[in-house]
Amino acid sequence: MSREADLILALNDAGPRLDISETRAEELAIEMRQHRAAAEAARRMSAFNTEPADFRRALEDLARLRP
Amino acid sequence: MSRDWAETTLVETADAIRGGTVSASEVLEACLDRYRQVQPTLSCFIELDESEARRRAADADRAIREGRAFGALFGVPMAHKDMFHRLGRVSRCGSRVYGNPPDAPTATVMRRLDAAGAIEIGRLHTVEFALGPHGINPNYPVCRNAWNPDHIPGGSSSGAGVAVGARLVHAALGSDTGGSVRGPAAVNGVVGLMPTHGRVSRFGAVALSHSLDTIGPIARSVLDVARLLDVISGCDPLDPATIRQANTSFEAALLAADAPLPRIAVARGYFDAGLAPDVERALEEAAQSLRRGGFEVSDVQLPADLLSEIADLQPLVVKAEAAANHFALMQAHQHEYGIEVAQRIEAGFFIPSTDYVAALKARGNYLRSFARAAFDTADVLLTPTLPVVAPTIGETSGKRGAAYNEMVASLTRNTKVVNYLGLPALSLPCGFSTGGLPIGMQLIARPFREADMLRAGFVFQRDTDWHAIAPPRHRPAG
Repeated sequence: MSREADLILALNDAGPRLDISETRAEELAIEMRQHRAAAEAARRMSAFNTEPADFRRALEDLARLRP
Repeated sequence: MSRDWAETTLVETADAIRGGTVSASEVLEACLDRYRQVQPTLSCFIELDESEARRRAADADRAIREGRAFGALFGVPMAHKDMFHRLGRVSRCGSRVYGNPPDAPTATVMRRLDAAGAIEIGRLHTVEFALGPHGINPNYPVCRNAWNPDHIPGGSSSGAGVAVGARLVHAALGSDTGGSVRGPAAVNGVVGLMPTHGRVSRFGAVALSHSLDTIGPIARSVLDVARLLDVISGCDPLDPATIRQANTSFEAALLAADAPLPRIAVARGYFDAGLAPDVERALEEAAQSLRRGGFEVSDVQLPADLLSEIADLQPLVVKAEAAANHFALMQAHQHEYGIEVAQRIEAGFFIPSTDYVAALKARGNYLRSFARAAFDTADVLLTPTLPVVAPTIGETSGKRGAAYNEMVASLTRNTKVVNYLGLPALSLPCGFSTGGLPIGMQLIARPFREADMLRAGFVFQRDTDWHAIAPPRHRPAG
């Protein structure tokens, strides 16, 4: 098993305790790598102090802009 | 020859009931007749409240005779995705393990439809927990495409797309987290509207992903969904995500003679990748039709890399939030979930909180970057709703592996990015494949500028008749 799959099984034991086979843990490890890459890209798009509510402000600011 | 009131649009029907041209009971019977013809094949309803619907239609007719009729949807039969709470009733959201407490308050959108006089006649098929784009749910008989029962109905608002497309009801509400209103609308040849995030209250709807869930209507014309948006939208103290907006009528704006035409741009660079030839042809013809209708139609090159990043962030947010919502239920009942839905949620249990928060922190800047690229010279983007034509049920059920995952991902490729950006989008019919399946086009507008895309869609439907073509009436084999 990969280290990531091992980690998923350990996290599962410590938390949700779902029924997850070793094969499924390997699949989840691949999925986690994809999500990690997405998050890495997202980190480049925000600053230290940005908070999630910034999205709501962006929506309202753009709504106010007239075409 | 008498008119078939199951075939008419929501607005035509509501106005005819109010004007006394037809009674609410006659309209209901037309819909029930259609139900008896096609439900055994299409399985789009999971429950029909026939006697209660008849009682309410009779009440509506009495009210009209006595001059007490009020509301923009008075006497019109509707049915909705089985995910909206109604006091005294249990909604299961397509699941074997979930059911809201019977004393859960009625969903805000249901209360608003009630106040407008709509008659709810039943509940519609949904993918389990509203999580899946093909529309298959192992807990129910297979729901089938309104145009060809061998093909998928789209999901997760599968029953809503099919019931409206096959003319069982005039309109339905669904929910859209990655394309679950627009996808079923596209593959069943009807109109689906996803409002701006915060325009419509989700209170009393079964949650999947609070950051992305949006309630929207499916109907047969753009005018229909404009009227429905007038009814269901508005700030709601019970849903803190709703945002207060000016109280304007979308329907009245569409009918205003002097309304300016928005500028339209065909989106290039992400939304036009990997298109099936039939879809590409239908989209180009739609652009030509819009030009003939008087619109300024240009091309806009969008940043494909940025949109690919957004496409990867949407499932991260859905899975993390779904896992949080399902934590206790899945611990107790993991093996009573359908395997595909369980596996979609499962990954969310292991996404680090740092990654989830990063996905949310970046959302505002992704939206600003996208808006700069998309809306500098246009008010509305034109894209295909789905890059492909609806696959067969055989291609989607019980399959696994990379090719299958790629096919499923293609069903939401052009819709899920819009959910992450929180923008409004409209899917409407724009043609048929060579195999006779509907093709949908998607219009995307700035936040809270639904009026722009509705105007474009309304004029398009004035000049074309794709939305007026009804599917064949599929009867059960044998």
